[in-house]
Formats: sequence, structure tokens, C-alpha cells
Amino acid sequence: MNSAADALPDQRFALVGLPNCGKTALFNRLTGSHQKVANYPGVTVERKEGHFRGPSHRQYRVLDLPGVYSLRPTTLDEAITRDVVLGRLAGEAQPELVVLVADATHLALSLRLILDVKRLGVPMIVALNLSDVAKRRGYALDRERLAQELGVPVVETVAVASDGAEDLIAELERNATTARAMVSSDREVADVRATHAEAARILEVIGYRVPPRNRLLETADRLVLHPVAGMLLLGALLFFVFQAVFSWAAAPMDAIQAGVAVVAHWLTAVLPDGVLRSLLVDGILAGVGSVVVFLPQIIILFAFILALEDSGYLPRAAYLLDRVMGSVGLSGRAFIPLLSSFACAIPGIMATRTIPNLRDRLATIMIAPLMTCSARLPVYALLIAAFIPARAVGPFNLQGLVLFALYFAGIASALIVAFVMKRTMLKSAYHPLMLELPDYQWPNARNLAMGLWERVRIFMSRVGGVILSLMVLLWFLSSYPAPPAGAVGPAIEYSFAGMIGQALAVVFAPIGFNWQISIALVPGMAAREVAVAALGTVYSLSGSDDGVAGALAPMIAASWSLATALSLLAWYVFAPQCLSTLVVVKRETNSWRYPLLMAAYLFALAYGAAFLTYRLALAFGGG
Amino acid sequence: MPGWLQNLVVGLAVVAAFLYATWLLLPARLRFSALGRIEARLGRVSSMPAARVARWLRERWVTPLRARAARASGCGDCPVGPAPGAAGVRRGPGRP
Repeated sequence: MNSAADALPDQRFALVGLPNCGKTALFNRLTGSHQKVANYPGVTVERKEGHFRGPSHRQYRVLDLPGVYSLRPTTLDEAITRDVVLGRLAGEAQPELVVLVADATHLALSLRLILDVKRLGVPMIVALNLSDVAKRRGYALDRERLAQELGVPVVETVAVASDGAEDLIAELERNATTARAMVSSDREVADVRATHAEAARILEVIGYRVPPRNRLLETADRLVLHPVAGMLLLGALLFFVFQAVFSWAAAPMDAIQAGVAVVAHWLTAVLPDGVLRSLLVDGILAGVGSVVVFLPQIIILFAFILALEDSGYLPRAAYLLDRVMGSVGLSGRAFIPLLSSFACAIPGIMATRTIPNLRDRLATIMIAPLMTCSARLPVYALLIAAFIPARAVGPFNLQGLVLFALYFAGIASALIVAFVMKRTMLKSAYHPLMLELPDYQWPNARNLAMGLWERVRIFMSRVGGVILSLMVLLWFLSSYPAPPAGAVGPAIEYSFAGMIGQALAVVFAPIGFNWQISIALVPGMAAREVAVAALGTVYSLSGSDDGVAGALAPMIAASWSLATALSLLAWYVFAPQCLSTLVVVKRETNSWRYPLLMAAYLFALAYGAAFLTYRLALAFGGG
Repeated sequence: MPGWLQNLVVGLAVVAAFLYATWLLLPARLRFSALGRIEARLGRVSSMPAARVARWLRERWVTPLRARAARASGCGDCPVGPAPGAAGVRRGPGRP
């Protein structure tokens, strides 16, 4: 740090803008890795602050505020943004300047927010983001005239380009000497109609023209958004995805399985018989290998989800499903949190913050764990591969059909639970969904690759982190104490894990679970897919063949009845195995009532569904 | 490999796995505050050569871990990534 930098006082500014206008991308562009993320005191709204140095060596501190449509708050996020801008939030200093990030392709919406902020007397720079996209698509606007009309500097930014924030930084440097701490304003935002009229006038004056939409895309939207044809298309699309998950993943899964088996045989050959070999082969390789094998299926599922998102289809699916959501009393805004829950319930539960009505939000939180998260996929895939023959049913793959049915069972049960809750403990009026439908576009290969890489990284870090360490512990619990002299059964039956499993089996016997499954349910509380790894370790230690690593499916197919497998599938449709989800529910609701209620109702449903499935399967000869 | 050495390696692996799994399963807030306390305690060590080791531990391990824990406390850095389909959702009128 030099003396010139020391002489210049820091400047603190806030990024304000509509949701999805590229505000966070601009924040990342400006601050790089110099970021600190936390929550605002007492609420679960994220507070992101970063810093960077300008060419003059002045230090800029940047606050990335939650996206808002106006300064008339309807959600907690919007209230926080308004209070920070006005300097009303306790513990948060008022920013000296606001950089209002406006989406150049949706200027009409951004302009109303710009006018709201301007009326408050807040020093402001407007950053016209996505200006490259606007130019490419033929949007017309006179930037200088816009600056003149607004009476504030207007700069073009391209948050995703490496040099896309240079004009903004130059403007900040120019303003840094003049912009000073604002006087807290008690002025309220103006009348909505006056703001709309003023925005319309400015758009006219600056010659803002939205290019006409492509006729082909208009036709596509008529089909995609049609209440009947659109729903059929959505159903067909999802069906295709689940078929692909099974059909396309077969070859890479076989390759991974073969690789794990080769490593297991090699370790068996080079290591002397003893505890170290048992730990590596029966504990780590059998456990971790049982989970790694499902990586191709996870990649295929998320490739589809990311491609659908990038193409602009998902918000259209949200629009289509709004009617279904409304029929069970849920807000249409519940769609996005519930969709997120297919990856993991935790971000889904966090995403419910955008639902303004508390009861709607609670109902969405309570059903989020019923969406089939990616951690359940290995469990489903294992049981389907072991018990459902890979034969064709007409043009379809039977295994894909079963997977589709399991996902559908999760969705259907979520809707039923929501219906009951919204008519009993969480009654509230229906709130309509408002959506901006983005233009269709080809999925960006770089975005897709980055998104998939992120999924692979998360999955592998879980495999190498919590799953690996729990498998070592499970191996220890399954190997000690050693069986007594003259014992005839497998050693694991006399171990700590065997004792725990046999004690739990009393509870789970009515639903067809044996003691090995009962053991696997315990570490599965940390993360659902750990249950698969646990079964791998437990069965590896139960058998006499060292080559079981990586071939769990045939082993359980030989030792479980069909009724037991179906019962376990039914259990996993409902069971809240993941403790992290319950902790997040506690944090989001600020009460133990809802996580406890959630755990109780999900366990009751899981036990009931597994019991019914098991008994029915036995009655139909599945024993 | 002699039996005693195998037992030693396996014993260490089990202890390490226990500590690591416990750490991973702790709530992020607890991990963050624990790292803060460790960082502060290491900063107070002044006698040589312990101070040098403490400084190395603090700079190479504790401070970076704490920075990661701080980032991990927000939704944007959630390991499962941003919500799929979050683009384009607009809030309608509702109760403040």
C-alpha cells in the first residue's frame, strides 16, 4: 500500500437493481475474490460486501444488495434493500453512492426503480448492464439522452466480460470526490402511476425500442405455454430426462464399477491379509465405490436441468405449473424453491425467502424435502438396478419408468401434504405469480460445462469428505469387537454395528428392513447417499468374497426380497434422512417447531408408506 | 507390513476420520466461532519457537479455513450452487 492510497478516504457504495439483472456478476467482476458473505443481523437475508482498488488506489467498498423491483417492499429482501439505501437499517452505515444496475434489455422495469431511488435524493450512477446483448439483439436507446433526462451518469457495463466494468470504475473515480455521505431521507417513494408515466416519457424521449420478437419463437411460446399442450410437453420432457438418466449412464457406470473392482483385486493381491487390507477394500473401496458409480447419472440429470434453465424453458414451466400450485393452495412462487429442492432441499428452503406470505412460505418449506434431491438418486438407482429388470415396456425402459414414478410420487405427495396444510394449520389467501419470461436461447456450452463441473466437484468432495470419513468409522464399528471364539456367523454380526443394527431391526422389522439396512439408515442421517456406501461396507464385511467392492446391486438382489426393496424405496420417498435440512429449517423459521413437525410427519409418512408397500408386496407374492 | 504397524496406521485413520467427520457435521456457525477462538489463541502465543509454529498454523491453516467458513455462511456460496430456474422470477403484489 502506498502513501497516495492512504491519503484517499475509502468510498462505500451499494449495488441496487432488479433480480437477475447481472448485479451479482458485476459485484464479482469488481471485487474478484475479495468478498465477505454473511447475513443481516436477525434476519436470513444475505449480506455480501467486497472491496477493490481503483486506478487512483482509492479503496472502494461494495455492498451487493438483494434484487428488488421497487422501493415499496413486498418481501424481506426488498425491505432490507430499501432500509440500507435510506440508512435506516441498524448496524449498517448508509452507502455514499448507489450504483443502480439496469438491465438494458428490460429498461422499462429498471427505469421505475431508477426513478424511485433518484427521488430519494441518493447520489447514483446507472450501470446499463447486458448492453452487449441489447446491441446484438437490436435494442435502440440513446445513452447520453438517458443520462441527461435522469440527471445522473449512465455507463454501459458487460458484467460477464473481463473489461466490462472499466467505464463504471472510471465513473466511480470521477464521482468519488463529489459523492459524500447522504443525509438520511424521510422522503417516501412517489405514487406508482406517476413513476410509470415518467418512465414511459423517458423511454419515448431516449428512443428506446424493443426489437420485434421472432415469429418462430412466438409460435413456440404458444405451444409451450398452452394449458394442455404445454403440460403434455412438460410431462414428455421430464419423462425423456428420466429415461436418459438410466439408458445413457449404463456404459460409464459399468466402466466405473469395473475400475473399482480392478483396484479392489489389486489391493487384495498386494496387501497381506490383515486390518489394513480390510479397511481399504471392505471399508473404503466397497463404501465409496458404491456411491461413485452413480456419478454419470447425476451428471446426465443435471445436464438436462442446466440446459433447460439456460434455454429459458424453466420459467415457462413455472408459469404452466402455477395453476397446479394454486389448486392445492400454494403460491405459484413456490415453484422455483421446489424445483431447487430437486438438487438439494437446502437451497430450495433458502429460496423460499422470495415468497412474501409467511404461511405460503412455511407450507413450501414443509414440503421441500419431499422433492427428490440428488442424494436420493444413488439409493433409487441402486435398488432399481438390483430389482427392476432392464427390459423394454413398449418404447420405454422399465427402469426409467420406475425412476419417473418415484420422482412423481415425491411431487404428488408434496402436493397432497401442501393441500392438507393449507386447509388446516397454514390457511391463507392465494397470491398470484408474476413472471418475466426470458427469451429462448441455445444453452451456453461454457455455462453448462461450469454448472456440471460444479456438480461433479460437489459430489466428489462429499465422497472424499463426509462419505469417506463415515465409511472408515463404519468399518471400525463393523469390525470390532472381534467375534468370540467358536462363533459361526460373519464377524460383523458380533460387532458394534451388528449390535446396533439388530437393536434397530426390531423397530424396522415390520416394514421388512433387515439389520444391515437398519445400520445403513444411521449414517444416512448425515447425507442420504451415505446409506448406499454404508450398505456397500456392511455387505462387504458380511461376505467372504473380497471382490464385492463395486458390485453391491447383485449382492442385495440375492439377499433381499422384492417386498423389502420396494419398502425401502417407499421409505426413501418420504424419510427426512438429512440432518442439515432440519437445521436449515430451524434457521429459516427461527423455531424448533417446524423442523420437529417436519421430522415427525416425514418419518410417520415414511414408516406408513413402507409398511403398506411391504405388506401389499408380500400379499402379491413379492416375499 | 507387520501387524503392529497395520494396527497403528488403521488406528490413526479411524481417529482422523472421527475428528474429520465430527468437524464436517458440526453446524457452520460453530465451526466458524471455533476457528475464530483458535485463531485468537494462536495469535497470543509469544514465546519462541512456539510463536513461529503458531504463526505458521494461523497463516497457513486457520485464517484461510476461517475465510472459507465465512464465505460458506451465505446462500450464494452454498455448495449446492444457485437455485436452478431462479432466473426471471418476479414477485407479485403481496403483503409487506
